[in-house]
Amino acid sequence: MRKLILILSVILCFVLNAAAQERTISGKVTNDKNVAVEGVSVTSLDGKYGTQTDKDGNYTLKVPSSVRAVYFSYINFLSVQKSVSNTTTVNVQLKSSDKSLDEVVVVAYGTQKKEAITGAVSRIGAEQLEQRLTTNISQALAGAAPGIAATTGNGQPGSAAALRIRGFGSVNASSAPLYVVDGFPYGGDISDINTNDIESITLLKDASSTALYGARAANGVVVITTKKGRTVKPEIRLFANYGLSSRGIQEYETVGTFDYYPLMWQALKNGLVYPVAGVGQTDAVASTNASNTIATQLIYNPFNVPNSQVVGVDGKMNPSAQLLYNDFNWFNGIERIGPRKEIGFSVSSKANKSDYTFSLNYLKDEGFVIRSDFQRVNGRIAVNSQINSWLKAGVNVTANFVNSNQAAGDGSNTFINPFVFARGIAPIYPVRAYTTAGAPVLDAFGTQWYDFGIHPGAINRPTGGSPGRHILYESLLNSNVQKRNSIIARTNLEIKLAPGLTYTPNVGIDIINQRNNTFQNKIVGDGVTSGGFASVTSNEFRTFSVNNLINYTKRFGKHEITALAGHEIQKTDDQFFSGSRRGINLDGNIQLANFVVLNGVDGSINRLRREAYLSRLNYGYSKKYYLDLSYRRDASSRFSPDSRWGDFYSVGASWILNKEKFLQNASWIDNLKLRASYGTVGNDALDTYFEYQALYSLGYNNAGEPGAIASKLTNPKLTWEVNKTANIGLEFGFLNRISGTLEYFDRGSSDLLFDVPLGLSSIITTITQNIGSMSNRGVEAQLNVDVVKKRDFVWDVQLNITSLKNIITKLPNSLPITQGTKRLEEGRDIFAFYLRKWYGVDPADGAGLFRALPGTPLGATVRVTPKGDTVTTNPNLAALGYSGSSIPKFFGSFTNTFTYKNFSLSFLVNYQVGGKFYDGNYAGLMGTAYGRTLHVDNLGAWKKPGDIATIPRLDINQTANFNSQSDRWLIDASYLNIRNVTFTYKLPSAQAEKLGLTQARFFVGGENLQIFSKRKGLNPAESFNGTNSAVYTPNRLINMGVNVGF
Amino acid sequence: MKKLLFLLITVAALASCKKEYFDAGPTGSVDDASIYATTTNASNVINGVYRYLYTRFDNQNTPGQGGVMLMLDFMGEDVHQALASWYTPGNGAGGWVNHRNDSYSYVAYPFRMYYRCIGNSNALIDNIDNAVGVQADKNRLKAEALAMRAWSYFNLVQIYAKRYDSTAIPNTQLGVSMPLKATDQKLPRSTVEEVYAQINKDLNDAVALFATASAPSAANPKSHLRLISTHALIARVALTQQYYNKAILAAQQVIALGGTSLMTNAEYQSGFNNINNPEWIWGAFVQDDQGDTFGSYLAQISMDGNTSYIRGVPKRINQALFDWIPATDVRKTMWEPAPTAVNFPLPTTAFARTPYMSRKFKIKTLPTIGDVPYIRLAEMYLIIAEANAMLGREVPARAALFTLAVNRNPSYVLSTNTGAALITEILNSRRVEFWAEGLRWYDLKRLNLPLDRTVVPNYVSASAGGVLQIPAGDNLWQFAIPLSELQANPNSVPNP
Repeated sequence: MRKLILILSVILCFVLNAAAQERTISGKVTNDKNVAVEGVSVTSLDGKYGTQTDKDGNYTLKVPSSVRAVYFSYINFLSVQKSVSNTTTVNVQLKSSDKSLDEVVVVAYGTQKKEAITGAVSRIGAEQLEQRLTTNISQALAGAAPGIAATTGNGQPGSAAALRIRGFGSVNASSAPLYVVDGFPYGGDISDINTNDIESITLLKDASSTALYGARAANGVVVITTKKGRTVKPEIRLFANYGLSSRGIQEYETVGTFDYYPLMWQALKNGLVYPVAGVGQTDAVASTNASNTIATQLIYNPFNVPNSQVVGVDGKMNPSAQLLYNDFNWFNGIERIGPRKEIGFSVSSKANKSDYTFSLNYLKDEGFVIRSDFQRVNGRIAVNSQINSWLKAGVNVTANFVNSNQAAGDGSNTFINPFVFARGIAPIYPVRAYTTAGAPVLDAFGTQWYDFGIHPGAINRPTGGSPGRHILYESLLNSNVQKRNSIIARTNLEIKLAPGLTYTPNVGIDIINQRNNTFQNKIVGDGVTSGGFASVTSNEFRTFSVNNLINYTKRFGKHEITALAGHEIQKTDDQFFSGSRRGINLDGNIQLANFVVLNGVDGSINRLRREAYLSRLNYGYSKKYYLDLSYRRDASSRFSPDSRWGDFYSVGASWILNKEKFLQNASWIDNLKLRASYGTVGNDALDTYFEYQALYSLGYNNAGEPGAIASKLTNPKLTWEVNKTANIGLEFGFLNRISGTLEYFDRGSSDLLFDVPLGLSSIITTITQNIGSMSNRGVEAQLNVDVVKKRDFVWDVQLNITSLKNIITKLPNSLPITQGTKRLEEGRDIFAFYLRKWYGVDPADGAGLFRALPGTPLGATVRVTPKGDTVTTNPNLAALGYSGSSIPKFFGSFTNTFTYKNFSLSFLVNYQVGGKFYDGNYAGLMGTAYGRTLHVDNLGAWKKPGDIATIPRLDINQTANFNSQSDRWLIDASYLNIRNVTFTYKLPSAQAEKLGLTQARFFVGGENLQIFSKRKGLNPAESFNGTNSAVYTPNRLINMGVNVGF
Repeated sequence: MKKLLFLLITVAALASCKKEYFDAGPTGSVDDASIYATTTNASNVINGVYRYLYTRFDNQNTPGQGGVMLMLDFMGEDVHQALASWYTPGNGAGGWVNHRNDSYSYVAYPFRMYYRCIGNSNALIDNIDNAVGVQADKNRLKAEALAMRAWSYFNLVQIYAKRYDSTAIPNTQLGVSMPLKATDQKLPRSTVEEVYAQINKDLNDAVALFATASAPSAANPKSHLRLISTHALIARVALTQQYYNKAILAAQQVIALGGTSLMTNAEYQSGFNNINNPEWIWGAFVQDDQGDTFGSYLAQISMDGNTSYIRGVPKRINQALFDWIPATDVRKTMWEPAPTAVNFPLPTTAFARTPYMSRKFKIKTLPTIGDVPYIRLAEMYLIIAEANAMLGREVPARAALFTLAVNRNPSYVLSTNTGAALITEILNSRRVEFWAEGLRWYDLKRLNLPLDRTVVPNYVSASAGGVLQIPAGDNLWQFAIPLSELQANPNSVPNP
């Protein structure tokens, strides 16, 4: 009824207005520094009459006498409503709405006014995160702030992006940042965190901001704070969205069915013409032999011509050959469009000295590969209460249930990895079974068999074609399910002991129970050998943390002091249990009870203990000068009692320049702050929890007798890796339009935790020592510009850029260490490629040539080119050398946001410029093996003497030599990734109100829409070290959703 | 007051940690002080080494010692397959290319495996005297560790160095680095002469200690190195060094010690998978929960393990060698020149059949579990025969050969061969007898013979990357020293 009256009165107003008399209102609008503001919108409350201020801040507005009030609004200022019933002159002073000045930022062990922060801190708020529909929050941090480099992660739903804050802190210990959730280091899985529960994420990047986390903050800290109730009236929010996942990066370009046979014919023929030893056949003889025998090697002949006539002696496909069947796309059955659904609600309120919030969220994210998904239910409740004048208590509990089917897209070279199998199989092997005449092979029920090598009439594919295996059939029949139940609980008490003095004991509990059930069927694949195989692996992970903090705050005159002292312990127990059985009994039941024979059982518990004392002192003077000191003493059970404790400290200062007298008149300066900090933090993140002890691994039982084998050398001196970081930063804001930060950092790691190689002839091949140092120096900048700032249209741009130089400054015995494609050497960076030097292709015989090691004598595999270079076809004799690094020249992101009335459109683009990438996936497609497919580039391979080619002759016997690891496989790693696009429509508040809503937002968007790189199929953002493997390629997500509050 | 109470309770509960708080040792491993506290604990170490010898190194085709045996046999001419697969180019050394690539994992495989055995043996030898326990147990553990170390160096020096030449004493060519203490690191390569001297010293010391040692407590002591296996190793080493008299004596000693006997023809056809076979002297005794479905010896070489490698790629014998075997010899039944569903039944229709495929090895229990033979008594008769023949003593040579041959072939009559023909007969017997048991490549190398696959009628050149001939004494007979050793150990040097 009330609604009806409201609508009626609105209509009435319109009618009355038409007849009303006009009058003129004028005045001047200034900001809080008494400077005129241009472009302020001045409107009647209903928005029907309006104008804007001119360059002197003056305005004139004609309105009917019925208008009782006008409304002043301008971006970044608080809107003001003024009554005009008794006056015609209205001057207004607008107050800045720029919260940044009073903004409180969550930092280590508490919050701090943004103004007072002396370190490098970036804050990402809920409003920014709402745009990003990522199942794993780490994915949303890519490009969110300067200084963060992120990988794309992989397409398995829920998978994390790896993050590196300001370069690479360690060689052998972890370089990943520490995650802190609501005050305690987080022991759980990042994918358990519900984005909708997050109030803010703060990135702590330099020592001044991280030092209070001391021992574990060497690689930066990601502080996640969850939401609390804020409004008296309970706020209910509903959230729903729906998306579709598809492949985010296209497949490498591989040859078609009609190209494969002729290419492999070349490989076979060239092997006969150029044998490894002895005299080769003539081209004519070899061609005839190749035409006659190629089908014997490839085994399958899908063409309607006899085996010996598929490829002619001219090396060309028989022109009359036609396909008997066309069923060669293995990705077809494995890929799908995967739906992603998310729905959630939350209720929160703050009243009567208590606040609460609770939320429930459901997510189901299905990957674009079959049998890969992620289902999550989160429930959270947080309650805080001011019990009496001196006691405050709170609890915050999240429970998560995760259920996830896992595809084997982890980069491992197994047949059940779709990106190994479907990428690698040659396009002449059908997915389903056909007779040699091309007729489908049917089972008793009339269904066509898959071609998996065991079906009736099967012939096996050659070795390169994964004989006896079938990615689609195996994926359908097998299962690999990960289930996780976790409880993340935080409690806190705040006891006011005296004015300014509080004591806060906090308890944090992380319980994560994870179980993996795998099943391998008995029909096809690995499970055949065991007659069906099932295994269960369970990990029970418990972390119990307690900290006791004493805070003291005091103001006197212009002085402001905050002090913190505290003690913290953390106990982590990681219990592992696994069991497996083989020989399935009844079909359909994949639990262990249904399997006949025990295969194995194993279990152990690993424990980690930490303790720390911490303290911090902040001093502020006149709200212009700030000083920040911190000290922390840490112990970890990873180290021996003698070297367990480490001391870490930091010092930081900031100076708010624009508050100084000499800048007071520079009204165009909104903010100018200079800050500097220096400090040390530690790192103990090694593989195991007991690094200093000499160990023998149990379980090496010989028949019935217990056995153990040496697995680790002792190093009682092993201690903390230390990170020393200096940071100088400038924060600025001008003209109410431009703001940003500019920082220089120098992050040096010393006492690097290093697995020093001892050689294969030692009892253990490496020993972990504190040896070596490394530095990361660089600059990072963030710039926010409000390009257009009109009443109806706003366009702002945010630009992030980081450039850093990593240098290894000291190594054990100053000796270089070569690992894989890299070499660590003093003066070089951590990801410097060190590879055999590719030279090119010999036009005479098409051999792949490497530059020979200096001084290599001429011989069967060593020759001199017409240019006089000594080259070799034997990669063992090839010269090695540096070939660039995977670290880019610079990287970052830019965001454009356009807002027109209630519509807004934003783009987030991540980019990287420079750096090299070793494309091992491509190298794999360039080598010949019977049954394995080839990259289309092989069509340009050397064919006959005199050909000038960049691809060596296809040669089945020499493929390992010609295509061996070398700088030939390096490619520019620059890329541009359209990471996020969101188009939003916000219901105008008046209309929302009519619907009984406080707010409503609709959006359409996408994640990871397109990556532009130097080669189709290549994902240069796959890893930091610039190498790739057969991983589940990242997905592209298109989604739409609605977010309402009432 | 209430405030104070709160404060007191929380502070008391959360006061600074006691020292024991940090005692958080592992449970999946044990520290070295515990492992060498008693002889019982220390026996874990030698057992750990035996187990390591049937543990997968990295790929499926690297099942510890069994994998090395196969890898070396695939470098010969008698064990081969129709397709390039495991053990051939890309996935092994059968093509004679990859074993010279110093960064190749199959180069590191035998190197690291034997040095890990050596390192653990060294640690046991260093620490056993201080363990609590009776002397007889200490003697046994030390003797086993010494024999293990000797055997490991013996394999290393044959794979990574030039052959021992008894006409060129001292053999000053580079052997391998020789750590003899657990703490030894980054040593230069000793000469081949020095390595063999140490091998012989260790074996002699082991024999002396075994005289006053307890028996292993194992259900089947054949999984341990014992006095008899140490004598067998002495015979092998002496044969390799061309010290034929010593080889004969040691081999005779093995026979004289008793406890082993040649197997029956029925046992010969039972699959070579059971350590209880009376002929086995040393082997791996694999329990049902110790198998590695795809990374076991029998997952590579058995006829009936249901793996895609076995189903699709049958292992076959050199046709010429097969033709040489007398028709009445039980060993003739180990391979099938024309396999059919009738004469060569296989578990499922998905198993491929190719001519001359083997049925010598079968799995003992599903999926691919079975024991691995390291030393068998038959070898001793062949050592006596060969050593005598080499010394020109043909009567005892024929007699020793006869003992074994008549067991395998009841129709066998004493050989009338002389000179080279007799030696060929003895060597061919070895090739047939130890097919896929890892001796052929060592035999070619110690006798300085070339590899010639062109005389193998059924050899598929493509399966070995076209490599059919390797001249005797070529540098290719030495594996490359692994790159990771060369990089970490500046005192080592690569092979030419």
